Amino acid sequence: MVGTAGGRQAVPTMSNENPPTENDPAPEPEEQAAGEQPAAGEQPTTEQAAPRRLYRSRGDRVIAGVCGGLARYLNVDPVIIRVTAVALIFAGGAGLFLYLAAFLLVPNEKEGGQPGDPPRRGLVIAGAIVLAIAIGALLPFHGGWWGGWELLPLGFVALAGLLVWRLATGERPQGDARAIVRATVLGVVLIVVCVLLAFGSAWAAADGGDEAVAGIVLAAGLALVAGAFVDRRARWLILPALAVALPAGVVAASGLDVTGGHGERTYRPASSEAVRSAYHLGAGKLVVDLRGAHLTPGDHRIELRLGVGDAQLVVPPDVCVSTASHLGIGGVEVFQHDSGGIDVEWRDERRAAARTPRVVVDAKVGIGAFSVHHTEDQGWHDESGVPGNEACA
Amino acid sequence: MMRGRPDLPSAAAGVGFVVFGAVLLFDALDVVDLSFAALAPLACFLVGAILLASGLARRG
Repeated sequence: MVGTAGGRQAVPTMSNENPPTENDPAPEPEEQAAGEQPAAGEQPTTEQAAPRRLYRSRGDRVIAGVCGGLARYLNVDPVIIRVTAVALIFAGGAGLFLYLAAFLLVPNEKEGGQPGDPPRRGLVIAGAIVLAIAIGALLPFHGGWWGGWELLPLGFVALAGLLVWRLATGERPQGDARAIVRATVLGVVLIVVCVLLAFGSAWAAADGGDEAVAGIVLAAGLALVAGAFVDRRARWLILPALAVALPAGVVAASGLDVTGGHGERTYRPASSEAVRSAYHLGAGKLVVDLRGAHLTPGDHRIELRLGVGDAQLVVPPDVCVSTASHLGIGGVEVFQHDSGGIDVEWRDERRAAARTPRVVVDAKVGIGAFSVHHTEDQGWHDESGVPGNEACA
Repeated sequence: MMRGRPDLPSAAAGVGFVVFGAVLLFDALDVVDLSFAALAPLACFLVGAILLASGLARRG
């Protein structure tokens, strides 16, 4: 195979004292990248060395090979370039835009270490615009020249899209700029789809469709198991299935249920007979005010159910309250005692004094707050006024 | 059609989703009462299994 090296035609040199033989090792791609590759149509001479070429690395790339190629060009550790690029992100987003500009302007390395074709005119124009934004972001004006910080979220979305694409396919981004842009767009689309799926799944599970959502997760699992034996591309189903399963799990664990409608509801029964046994609201503010109910001695059992929001029970000072409540996520305050967090169980069982009415409340709130006070909208940890539950034995 | 070994990440994720879906279904049918104390390790198991299987597959 005399005359070829690394899959390309070897170019004869003027000082050919040691022509390449089969025993000679092929030049490493790194050496070629360092500038030993003659430019097309030129005959290198001992007097005229070919200029070093900068191109995006194919073998050492995390996203598009910009840092790897620059590190090879400068002959430094790529980690230094990558750390510098990340640090520059905090300079008005300049790092991100410089990376994007280099991605558009610098040619990609071809197979075998060959420099790639120069970028097309459209990419050069786009790269020049991004470069101008990057330089503007570095200028010492407030917020950068062209508002680098304002455009930064778009850059992060694109970066997240590329990472998601890589996670979903298990492949590193390869190919020219167009292929990487296509991967980024697909990744962003996947993110948007997953976010929509997550909200849809959570809403459906909270609105009485929990069995259907569970069925979808089960079906996705079975499809993945079957797909594992048929086609490796079944992996793409993992992210959407996660987007459906995890929010449904949160809804199930919190006991969130929005079937009871939404809004602000206040109940003020005017007599003991008008007090309902159950009050139910999907999302919003639920207030049950018993101060005007003139409760008769004995037990009055009330069930409060709220999906997400604020539930309040307001009782007069001459009523004893016995409480059992569960909150998925949130806080509970019964007079001057409170608790909060995840999976909050609160039990405060009391007995009423003789000839004293007792309210036995069973409250369940998915996400939000539940409180029992003598006044409506009393602030938490507000210890002014009547201490509460003085009517209990 | 794929020949040879099954795709490990897909298989691990599939088994995880079947378990997760079954738990969700049991909760919906009031067979079990799912709480965050049970959900958190279950979700960690699911995500961890997928990541572990992906890492092992890449290594292989």
